[in-house]
Amino acid sequence: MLQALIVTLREGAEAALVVGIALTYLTKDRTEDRSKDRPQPSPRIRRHRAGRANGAGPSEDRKRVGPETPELLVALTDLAMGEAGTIDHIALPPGDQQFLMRIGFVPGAQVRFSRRAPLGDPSVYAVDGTEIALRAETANYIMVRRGWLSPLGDLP
Amino acid sequence: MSCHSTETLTAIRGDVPENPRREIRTVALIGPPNSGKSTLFNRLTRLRQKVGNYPGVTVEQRVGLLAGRGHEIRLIDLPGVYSLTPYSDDERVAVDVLTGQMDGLPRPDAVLLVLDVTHLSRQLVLAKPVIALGLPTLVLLNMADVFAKGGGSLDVLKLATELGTPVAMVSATRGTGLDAVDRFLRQDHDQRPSALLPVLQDLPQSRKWASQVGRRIDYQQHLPSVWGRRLDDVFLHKIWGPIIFVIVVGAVFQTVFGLGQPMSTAFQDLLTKLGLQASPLVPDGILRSLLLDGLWKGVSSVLVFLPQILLLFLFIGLLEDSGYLARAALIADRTMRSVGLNGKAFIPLLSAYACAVPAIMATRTIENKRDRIATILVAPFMTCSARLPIYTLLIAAFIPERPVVGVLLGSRACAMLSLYVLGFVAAIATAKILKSSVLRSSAAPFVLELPEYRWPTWQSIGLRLFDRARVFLRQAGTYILGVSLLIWVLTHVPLHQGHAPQLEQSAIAYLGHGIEPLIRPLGFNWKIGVGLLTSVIAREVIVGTLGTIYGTDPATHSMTLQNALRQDLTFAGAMALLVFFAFAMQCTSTLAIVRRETNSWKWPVVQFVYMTIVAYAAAFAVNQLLSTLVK
Repeated sequence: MLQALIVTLREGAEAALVVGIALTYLTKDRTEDRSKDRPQPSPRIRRHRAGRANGAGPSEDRKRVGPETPELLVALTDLAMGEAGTIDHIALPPGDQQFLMRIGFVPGAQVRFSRRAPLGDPSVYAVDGTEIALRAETANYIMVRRGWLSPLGDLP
Repeated sequence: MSCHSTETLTAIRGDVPENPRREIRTVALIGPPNSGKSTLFNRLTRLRQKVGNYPGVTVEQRVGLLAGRGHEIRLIDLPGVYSLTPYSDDERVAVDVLTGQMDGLPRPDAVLLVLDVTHLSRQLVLAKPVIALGLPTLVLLNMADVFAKGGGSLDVLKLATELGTPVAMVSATRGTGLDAVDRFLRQDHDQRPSALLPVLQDLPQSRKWASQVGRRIDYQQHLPSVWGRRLDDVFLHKIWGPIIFVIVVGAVFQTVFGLGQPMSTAFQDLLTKLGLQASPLVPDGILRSLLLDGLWKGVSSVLVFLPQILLLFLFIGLLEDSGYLARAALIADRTMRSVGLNGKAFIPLLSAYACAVPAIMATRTIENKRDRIATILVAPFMTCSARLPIYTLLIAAFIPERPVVGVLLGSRACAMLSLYVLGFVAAIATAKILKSSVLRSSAAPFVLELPEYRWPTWQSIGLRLFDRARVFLRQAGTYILGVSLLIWVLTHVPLHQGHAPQLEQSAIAYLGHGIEPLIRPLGFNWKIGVGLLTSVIAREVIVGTLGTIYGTDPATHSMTLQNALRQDLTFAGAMALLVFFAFAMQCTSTLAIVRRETNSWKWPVVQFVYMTIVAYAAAFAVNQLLSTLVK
């Protein structure tokens, strides 16, 4: 009797898991779309750019880059699905930089946003012929130039 | 010359050695993570290996003997590293071993460098610092079969000239090309450092060099199979992905729990029968008791975990080798992150519902050390199958069956469910506390490589199963044996005219009486106290102990254990006992395996103290609250 109940319990736990995942997916689906057509870079990136331009605001920064190349430097998370770019720099502490560089995120390397995890995060990036998943909390700090502009090239 | 087939292409450097002949005794195997180094190690040593730990760090040390050699050659498997910059424990160990600074290991006479040829541009960066060490080096380009199948090609001779070392194409999973290792080790080697390759610490510079080399050796990247993309389109699909994930995970859990449990029980019956068969061979008396009740019981209490461990690792092996495990971690990461753990902790934590021991062994897939320790510390809170005997006993004895939600859910099922929830909540709370205090700030960003899909090979999984079983038996077995012997001695002293005393007069009963003031506020008497003491071996032992105690007591002699407990325990006390078992770390096997996996006594001690305090506090609260409420 009790055994049968335990089995039912286990099945219940599994069912709860399915429902939970479905719910998480549904809630996540909405936030994900918002991030995709976000017109402005995230505040974090803006702050970061301001730092690079020695206190200059984001508007001055863009002027410096030139009007014909708008939004050239973006975070990895700002790439559209399937879009490729060239890594410019990693705005993280040296230790994390080293770590990311050793797995392939080297300035100059080409990277492509290849897919998103079903629950929205992490995202999968193709770099160096390998698919590597990073959370947005990390990918936000990897700055890329849009398009294939690599001066360095990579292995063919 | 380019390589389009799996056949071996070996290019040997044309230099004639200038130094006198030096026999190779010790060889180090080094390579980046995911380069197939461990599979190659298993292939080369054919299980003649010793597993231990490097002193002072949580880095596993594996030393094996190269199979089929005239004289013995030791092969040291170094941890997977991306570079020789001492950045992590793994890299420090690799550098120390290669430079001969590691205690107990001689400086290697030669190096086997394993690189995944399908990702050569990334992996070639490691070649430089390794070759610059000046040791004779053989570069093994692994996964040659996958590479050739995908249309990849490169000029092996040109690469050998670039690097100044011999280079061989091999496939560790298929076992092709390994004769190159034989040939390399039989040769004479000079020890002069290679002047060809200046070591560049700067990573972008090294990468530049690697891509230049790639161009010079006509490296053609292989094309990943279309099937891999198609499988990912399904497995990582927004809707199908999670559904498949739940099905796969449910199947693993169901099998480990549903099939492993009866297998364990059957195995235990077999072991008990074996013990009974053997008993007439030993003269009756204290020796037989020591051998059968002490040693054999202790050994079988360890052995019964084997079916579950092997089952779980069979599944993990299949999932990992096929490449699905990484996809599962990717799907689970989002949920696991909310409690401060990462996606790779999902499978271990789930399997902890069956048993914490294989779960803790399965945490090896988590590279981040802090996340791994947090997962290890949290896993024993999950309601494992060893808790079920005492749960079912107490629930059947103290909770009357009444429908709560129609016929679907009775009060007993509710009680059981709450105990599952209790363990889960405790695990999550502990994870949160740990990740926001002691184990905060994961050392490195979460990174998950998605390997290409491939068919798992039985040989590689079989080798791994054998390896896991051996590690478990050797490491956990020794500690468990010690503890079960100690408990046996405590139940058999002081001697009465050369005979073992009744349980009530033994040293353990004395201890039970001793801790009675301590457990009285929880609503337990000394008999339960004895049960708590003996169940330190394993949780289910308490049922047997209570059976013995109440069975020998004249007052409760004729009653069933349920009725005896009902007479001896209050409702509040029984509930407190349930809660105590939900939280307490009453499992020597788990402690032993935590000690082995973390390579220090610190974590098992912390875990035991923490869980016992939580259990005591919770049981105290439950007993006090219920006894005032029920009255």
